[in-house]
Amino acid sequence: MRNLEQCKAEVLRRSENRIKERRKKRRQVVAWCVPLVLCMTVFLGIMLPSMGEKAKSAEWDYLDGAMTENGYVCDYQEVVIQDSGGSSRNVTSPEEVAELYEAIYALDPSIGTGQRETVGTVDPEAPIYGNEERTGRAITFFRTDGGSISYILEGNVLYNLTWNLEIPLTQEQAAELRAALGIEE
Amino acid sequence: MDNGASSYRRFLDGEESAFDEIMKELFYGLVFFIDRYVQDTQAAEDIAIDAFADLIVHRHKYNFKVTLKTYLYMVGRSRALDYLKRRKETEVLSLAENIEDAKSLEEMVLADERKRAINLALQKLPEDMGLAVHLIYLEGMTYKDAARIMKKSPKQVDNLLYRGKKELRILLGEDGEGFQ
Repeated sequence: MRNLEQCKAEVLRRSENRIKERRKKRRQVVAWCVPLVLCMTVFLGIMLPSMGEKAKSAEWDYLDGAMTENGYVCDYQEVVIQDSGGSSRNVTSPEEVAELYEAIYALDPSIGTGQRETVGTVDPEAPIYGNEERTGRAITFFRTDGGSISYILEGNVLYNLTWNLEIPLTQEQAAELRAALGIEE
Repeated sequence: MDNGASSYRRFLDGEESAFDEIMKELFYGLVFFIDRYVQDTQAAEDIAIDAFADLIVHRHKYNFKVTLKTYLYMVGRSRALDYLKRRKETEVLSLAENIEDAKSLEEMVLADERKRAINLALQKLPEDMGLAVHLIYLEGMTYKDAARIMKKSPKQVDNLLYRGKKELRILLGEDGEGFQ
């Protein structure tokens, strides 16, 4: 049997060894973790922007128009403005189409809010004047890929026919929209 | 007497010599206690050394809620049981080659002749009963501390002690008459 001094020396020796062992383990963990974190950072740095791009482009498709920092990018090429009598006016100038879209864009809350998800889809081929109660002006934006979005401006209400939305306008907004569309009361 | 807690506090504050005091006060008692489980003085010493090394390595594991002695005995018991499990698994039984060691350890821890007689009689008692008597009569612990170490309730310890005393009176014969 060892005497107390020997036992004490043994206690100190073992505790030192264990402390060294713990430090070694900690260093190993750090040695593994640092490169791992770096790798993850690089991986995420590569992956996240591309995922962001994907999401952004998906959003653009969804919104029928791509937003930019300063506003939006209009990808419509033609606008048909039609009255209930059947006479219509085609707008094909890119600047004018963009202007019209901007005027609508500012009023339609469904654009860019994701609200469209909550409303049903409408057959784009269906006649604009299917509902006889609506007698205002029909405004249809046509995209290069054939897609379209249709509105009816009736008094102070703008109907988004594509998404079945009723957008009440103020007197002022309705007047501004009429002016942009070149419609006289 | 706080069974080493104040010395350990001083050790944590950087006074290295306080650890010597703890060793001096508690080491052989712990070996003696562990030996009751493992029946191998060298193994008991080894386990006790590990328990003390734990005090240095894991400095803040002991939270001063129990006495340091109780804490060390709890660690010692748990390590002794682990050792027994390992020994059972490997079936390597180093039977008491160290009777001399056991004898000298007993003399070191139990200076009183009467306590040695009790210790001898304890070998014949069931393990839990012997342990309860050991902790309360030989180590002078409270029922609460003994219960903590044995992982039993104070009531269970009380029952074990009552039955242990009864058995010891029979085993010690006339000497046991005065055993309270």
